[in-house]
Amino acid sequence: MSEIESLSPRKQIWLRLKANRAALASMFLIGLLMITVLVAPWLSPFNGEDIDYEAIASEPSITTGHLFGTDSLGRDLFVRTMEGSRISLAIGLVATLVSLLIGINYGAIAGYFGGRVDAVMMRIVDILYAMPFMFFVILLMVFFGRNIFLIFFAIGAINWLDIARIVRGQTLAIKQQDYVEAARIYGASHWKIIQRHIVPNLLGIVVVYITLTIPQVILVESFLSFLGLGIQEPMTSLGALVSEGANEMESYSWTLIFPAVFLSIILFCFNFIGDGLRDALDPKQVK
Amino acid sequence: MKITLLLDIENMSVRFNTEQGVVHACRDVSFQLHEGEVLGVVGESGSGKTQLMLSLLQLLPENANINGVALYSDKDLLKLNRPDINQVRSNEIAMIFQDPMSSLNPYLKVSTQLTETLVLNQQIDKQTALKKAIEILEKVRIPDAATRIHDYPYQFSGGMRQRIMIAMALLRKPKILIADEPTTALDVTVQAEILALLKSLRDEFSLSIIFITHDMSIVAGQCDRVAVMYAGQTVEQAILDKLFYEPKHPYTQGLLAAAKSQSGLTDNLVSIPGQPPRNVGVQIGCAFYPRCDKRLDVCEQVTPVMSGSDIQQQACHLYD
Amino acid sequence: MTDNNIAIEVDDVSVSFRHTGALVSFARKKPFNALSNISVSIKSGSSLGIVGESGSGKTTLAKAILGLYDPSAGSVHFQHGLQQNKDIQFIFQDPLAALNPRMTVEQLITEPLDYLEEKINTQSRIDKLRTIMEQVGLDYLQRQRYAHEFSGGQCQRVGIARAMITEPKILICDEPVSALDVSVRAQIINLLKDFQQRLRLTLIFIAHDLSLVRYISDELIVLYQGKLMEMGPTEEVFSQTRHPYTRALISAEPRPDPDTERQRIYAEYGEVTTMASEANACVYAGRCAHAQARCHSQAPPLQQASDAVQVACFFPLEVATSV
Repeated sequence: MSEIESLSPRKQIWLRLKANRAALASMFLIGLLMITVLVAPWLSPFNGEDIDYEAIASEPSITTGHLFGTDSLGRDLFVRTMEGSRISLAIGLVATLVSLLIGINYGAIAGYFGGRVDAVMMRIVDILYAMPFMFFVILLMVFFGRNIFLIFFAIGAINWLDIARIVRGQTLAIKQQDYVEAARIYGASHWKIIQRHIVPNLLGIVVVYITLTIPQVILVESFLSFLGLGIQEPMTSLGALVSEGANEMESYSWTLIFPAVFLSIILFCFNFIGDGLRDALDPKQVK
Repeated sequence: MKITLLLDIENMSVRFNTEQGVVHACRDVSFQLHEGEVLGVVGESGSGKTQLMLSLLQLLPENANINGVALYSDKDLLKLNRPDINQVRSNEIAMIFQDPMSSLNPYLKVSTQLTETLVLNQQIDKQTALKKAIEILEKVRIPDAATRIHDYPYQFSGGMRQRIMIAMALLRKPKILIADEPTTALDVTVQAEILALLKSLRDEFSLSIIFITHDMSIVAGQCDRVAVMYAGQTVEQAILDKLFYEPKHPYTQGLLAAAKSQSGLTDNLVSIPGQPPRNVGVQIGCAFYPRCDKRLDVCEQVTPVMSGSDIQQQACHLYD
Repeated sequence: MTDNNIAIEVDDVSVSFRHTGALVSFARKKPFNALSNISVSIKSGSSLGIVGESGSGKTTLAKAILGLYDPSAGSVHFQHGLQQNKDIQFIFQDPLAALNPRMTVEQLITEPLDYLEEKINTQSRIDKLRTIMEQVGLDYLQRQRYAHEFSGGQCQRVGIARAMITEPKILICDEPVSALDVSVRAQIINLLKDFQQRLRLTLIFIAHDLSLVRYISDELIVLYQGKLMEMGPTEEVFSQTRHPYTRALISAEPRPDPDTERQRIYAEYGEVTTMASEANACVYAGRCAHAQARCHSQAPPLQQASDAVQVACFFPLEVATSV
């Protein structure tokens, strides 16, 4: 009798994810977008800073070479959109990483040690949750200037709360598992247990949250840029571009449309991937 | 004296389409249940016994593919439409499970859960329904039934919850009761009481029972006939005494030897070498071949078919 | 300790639980007595069976011996040279749940080696892995696989390999075969017995019924609701059962023999009620077929019923005087 091996959980999850059309298309699209965003500017003769005096605020056309047109200062919109996408994605990824690092450690420690430690740590999270973060970020920007690293950090510092809560919940569940008790019995230290047994089994849920946090972060940065508090010129982000484009909306609509479309695509795709991952990881689906 | 045939299962196969391939839960299973009879279906992991029973009541998930025929009073259960199968599920065939909590809603009082079906199905008023519910709880020996009926499931012990589940099943006076490992999760003394209860209820309610279990000891005490399943197929079917005292299939023999040794009836502990199968993919030859100590060359190539009589039949090349 | 042959001395151990963990505790919760006054001496190299149904406290006792629970009264002593946190290992009831799903079999089995005091070099690790896998009947070539790829019986072998790789002196097995198919249970039990005999392991075997205990345990104790009912050499407890509860456990078990079962008279065993923690009654009195007035008003002490057997019962069952 032929026997097909049962697949590892990882493979099963992957297969389930592939079956989700929206998620699959999104992954493809994001991949494509990332490649485009990295490569395309090399292909264009223009860069995002040069002013093309012959084509100020011109419509998209192939003849001028400005595929997406130019903005009111004459800068090529295509390259600027690419650069903006790059920056937005970078902020999304880095800020998410920051919040992950803080959140996982915080949540795992609270969940693992439990008792008073957990109670105190989680009350701190509750209190921080209640604070108006946007307000503090804006204050930070105003006082310390619009440093890109500060933006990374500030945005990351908002999202770690969510991740900490999720991780703490998962840790509580994982802590009850027999294999954790087994590790305690054969002498593993608390840190080794967290490192080898808790965190690896958390990664599933964490991955879902990464994919859902990235769009959130990008949106926060976009909002800041819209307010004029985002990254400084000459760097640009999709949010900044959308902000500029909104000003020109009536006369030069393409300056709004292109960045907005890119922003929307990124947000949608990550959300679909996140949803797909969440479904794929749902243990109830396991047969 | 003619005994009525209640359930006639013929050549049933249950397949699941999964990411790993096609899983054959049951292959070509046939057996019958007669009126007033207790049929034991014995099997370990991979035997397919639970999937078989679930498929009778169309309780399997969407990716299940079922072939064959399951005749119950001239109707094929596998082909019934929604309203008809619901009718069968509520009034004709009842099922109880290993974990009573899976059948009991933790948010509803026991009284609500018991009376709900009565009021809906039999169109009687709440008071009468409550009375009937209390009566049935007394039948399953819940002490202080009239008071305790208003408690929530978590307020009962495991054994009590199992009794409640039995009560729920019997409330609608079914013809057939399918019991899927009803005592596996219970302590041994509680198990003994539940088994005694089932025995007494059987006569009182004129039940025909299909008793699914992996425990040969329970079979010895409860069943009239036994079907032994392995890797999704029936390998032996016989009346009780024939199966226990003259088992023919090597798997049955191995299982009995293991069970007897574990009951302290022999000096050494005995097992069947190897492990139970995973039913993925196409099968050639006998599924028990890798673990059989009496195998012949033909067993590897040709799948054996059931042969024998009503009293005892087996699927084994040793008896071809 | 006087007798140097005793590996573990459980000295009047009681374990009770109370609610913990809240920042502020408003309610004074009554402590729950999981174990009361358990005393047992476990000889080095012997095998002890701990038998009890749910709520008996058998797992609590095991964990108290392991040091996972601190006794609220009494203490657990170990033979000179044995350390509670190094020389005892544990086998779980659910073989799959005891294995981290993200680790390969190799990682699972060798992980305990990382926590030993003397560091083991790589070659030594590989040798130990190969040896132990062979001893438990696993194929060394499968070491890169994950737990879910194995059957229940094989998972339990992985668990045993992991427990034995550090060469412990004491092994506690919590119902190691309850979750396994009947046809493979004996494989695991025989494996454990084999280890025990070869290595003179002190083996503690927890079970919810008496069937398998007979094969693997020299001595056994019967627990009910956290209290010790009967204790002694397995053979004597079986052939000369004195406590009504032990008798109930033995008789309640069905046998794979239709003739025996046909003759069975179904006794009333009584339903387990919620924990009665009165100090002034026998815990089993509520369910006991032989209970008398005294049983409801006084808790029977553990008494010597024969040379080797102790029973906590005012009216132990009559036994044959000739052995």
